[in-house]
Amino acid sequence: MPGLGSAALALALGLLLYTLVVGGYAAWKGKRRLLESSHDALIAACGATLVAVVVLLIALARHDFSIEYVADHTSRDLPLRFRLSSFWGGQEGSLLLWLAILTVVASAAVRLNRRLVTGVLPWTAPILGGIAAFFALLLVFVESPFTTQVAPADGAGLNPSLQNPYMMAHPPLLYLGYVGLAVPFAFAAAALVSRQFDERWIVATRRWTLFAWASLGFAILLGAKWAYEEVGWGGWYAWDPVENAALMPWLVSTAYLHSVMIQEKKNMLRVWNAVLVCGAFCLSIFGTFLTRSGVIQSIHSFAVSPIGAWLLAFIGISAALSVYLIISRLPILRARTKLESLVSREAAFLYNNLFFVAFALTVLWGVIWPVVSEAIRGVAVTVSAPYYDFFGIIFGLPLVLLMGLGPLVAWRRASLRQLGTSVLGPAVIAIAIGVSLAAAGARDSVPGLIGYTFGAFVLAAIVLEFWRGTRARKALGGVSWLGAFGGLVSRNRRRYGGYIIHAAVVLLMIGAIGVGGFRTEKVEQVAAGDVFEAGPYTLRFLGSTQTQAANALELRAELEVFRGGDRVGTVTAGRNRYFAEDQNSNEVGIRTDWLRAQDLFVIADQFNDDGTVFLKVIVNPLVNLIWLAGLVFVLGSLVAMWPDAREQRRLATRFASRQAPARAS
Amino acid sequence: MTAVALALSAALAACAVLFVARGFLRRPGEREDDVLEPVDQARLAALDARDRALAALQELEFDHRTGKVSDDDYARLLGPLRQEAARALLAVDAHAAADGGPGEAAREDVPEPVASPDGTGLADEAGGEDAPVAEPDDAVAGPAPREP
Repeated sequence: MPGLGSAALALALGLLLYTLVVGGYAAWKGKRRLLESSHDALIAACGATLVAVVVLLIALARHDFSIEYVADHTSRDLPLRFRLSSFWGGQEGSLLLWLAILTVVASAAVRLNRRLVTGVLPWTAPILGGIAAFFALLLVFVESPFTTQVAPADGAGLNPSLQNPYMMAHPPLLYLGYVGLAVPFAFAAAALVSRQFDERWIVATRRWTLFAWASLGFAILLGAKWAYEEVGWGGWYAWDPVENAALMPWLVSTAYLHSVMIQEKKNMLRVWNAVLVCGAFCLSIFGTFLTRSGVIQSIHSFAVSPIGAWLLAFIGISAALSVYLIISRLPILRARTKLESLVSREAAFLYNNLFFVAFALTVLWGVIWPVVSEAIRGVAVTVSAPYYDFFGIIFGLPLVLLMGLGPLVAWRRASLRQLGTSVLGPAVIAIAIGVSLAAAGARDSVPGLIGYTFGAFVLAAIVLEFWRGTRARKALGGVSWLGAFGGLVSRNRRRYGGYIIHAAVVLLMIGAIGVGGFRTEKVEQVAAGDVFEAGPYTLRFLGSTQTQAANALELRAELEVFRGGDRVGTVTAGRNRYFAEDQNSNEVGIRTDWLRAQDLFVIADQFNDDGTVFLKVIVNPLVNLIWLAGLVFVLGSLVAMWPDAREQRRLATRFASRQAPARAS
Repeated sequence: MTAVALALSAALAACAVLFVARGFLRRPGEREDDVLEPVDQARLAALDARDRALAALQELEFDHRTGKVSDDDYARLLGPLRQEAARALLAVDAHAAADGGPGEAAREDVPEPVASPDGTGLADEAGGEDAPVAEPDDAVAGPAPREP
């Protein structure tokens, strides 16, 4: 029923334009009913968009090849789960997913905060409506997912690299992150327009920002896991422009999540926070632009289309409006308090902000350098991994050190002597671990050794913080150690959730250094029965097989794996030949040693007619700590963003007092 | 477009229009007015300032107990922070008095001014992340001595 889908999208566009225009007018003139009506229009647009989503999902499930999008991205032999995930396998579908998430998030943000930020909310809805209207416009007039045709007998199928379980979760989470950043942006812009740039918009968007940031971070890791298993080059992050496009807003929003605490506590950095929020949003759109414009070569450029110019114009307008709003509101944004000491928690946050933003700008420069160099010299020069690795070390190591120092420094002002006392324990542990690692032979990578030492410092500092806090609560009496620990975390979930996230970052760093600095690689041409060594493993090639699957021909090479003379199992690697798509894909073999967090990673590069196979065997030490870090990251994020009933009661009391001024808050 | 799709589209559009227009369809007088109330910026700013001041006291207390602030620094920082908190509380009370309310002492979401042995005047329940907007750090104020 493509007609219903098109009509639903047209209706959504109309409703979103209503939210933009009527909502803006209502906010300007202070008209209550018009304002409420515009909020309802935003919710109705969400409903209409979800109808379009359901129509497309049904069409994908039922092989409705009369819709071009369905024919272009599915085939009759494609399993149902991939038919459904092909919703975001192409340009039009992923734009529809974007709009659906945006309208859901925008409706919820406006609805849930309607009593919290009464002065700011009137402008928030039109801004969110305007952003959503832009994407609805693209879907109605430029890239409709409901364009019809004479139905062919079969579809073209889905890109084989997208036929992966991680691709069923990675794009929606990524969009949740990108789109979620629109909420703090809209509230910040609305606060600037309404000249009410106090802390209430931050309180209102705190969990939205955390949710968007956590989704984006976890999506980046899921994408890394997909690349590790599906792209099959043996690494997990390749500094591909589209990977970087997700990393940049994440870095900037990480800086924001830290600096916003200084605004909350000391009413400082208001201009800086406004810049970071607007920057993170513009970078999130820039990421979409990179994926879809084709302006930069990337392994992700499967969804290239002519909407690049539209997106570029949208980024330009968003950035220009942001700059105008910030400059025009500078008098109300200027801080009334100052940093009291360069040795304080606030100062540590400030330093980390500088490193985060510098790193994000360095990545941005690397991403756009091919375009810049082509414009200047006529030749597109691509910046490769060594550039990013270098700056990753330059900015990453101080950031890790600050992650350990920050929690140990007092707010406002700390004496160097007291700081030395706090730091001493974690520093001794870290140095001992660093020296032990060096003595054990981990001297091949000096940055890696420094990274491990700093990582040990951070973990020791985190443990110390939990220990000191729990002991302080226990000292109050009347509570067990467990109760003291639970009370400590539940009374400041953001702080202790943050520490758990810090631990996740350290785990990720340990894994990344393991893969980058200490991995071994071997290439062999083998015949059945051949035995060869790869790192600590001995492998015997048992032979190759060929299987006809539902939608592909599967070639596999099977190897027997030994370690220390003991047989530990088998590993199978190969290639798939997809019929409908007329494409090949690498299906790597991975054998995980959970005890050592290590992978034996096998790529079957070439199957020869004489029965021999070219194999690339990689041993990736500690790589599984990267994936473990993802789980710890989610845990920390959940702790940090978990709603607090007491806070809700307090805020409800405060804003209910508008109706009863006698209650002062 | 098929007849069914056309009918469903029309029904969807009708539902959306009704949903958006429902505010205007209410009987006159059901809502008190059609104009947004202005936000009392000064009152909310005073509350924000109060929250920040109390959070700062609680942070100082916690940092002292966990050994991040020395006794000397604690004694030096406490006075100005208490003065700042007192000024903020007075400002909030002034706003409440102007509105005809009972003032700060009657508020349920503000720490009770209990004279704790450490002098911060913060009871345990006043702490936690929810007391001020700024999510003050763990208030574990009370009679326990500073941890070594």
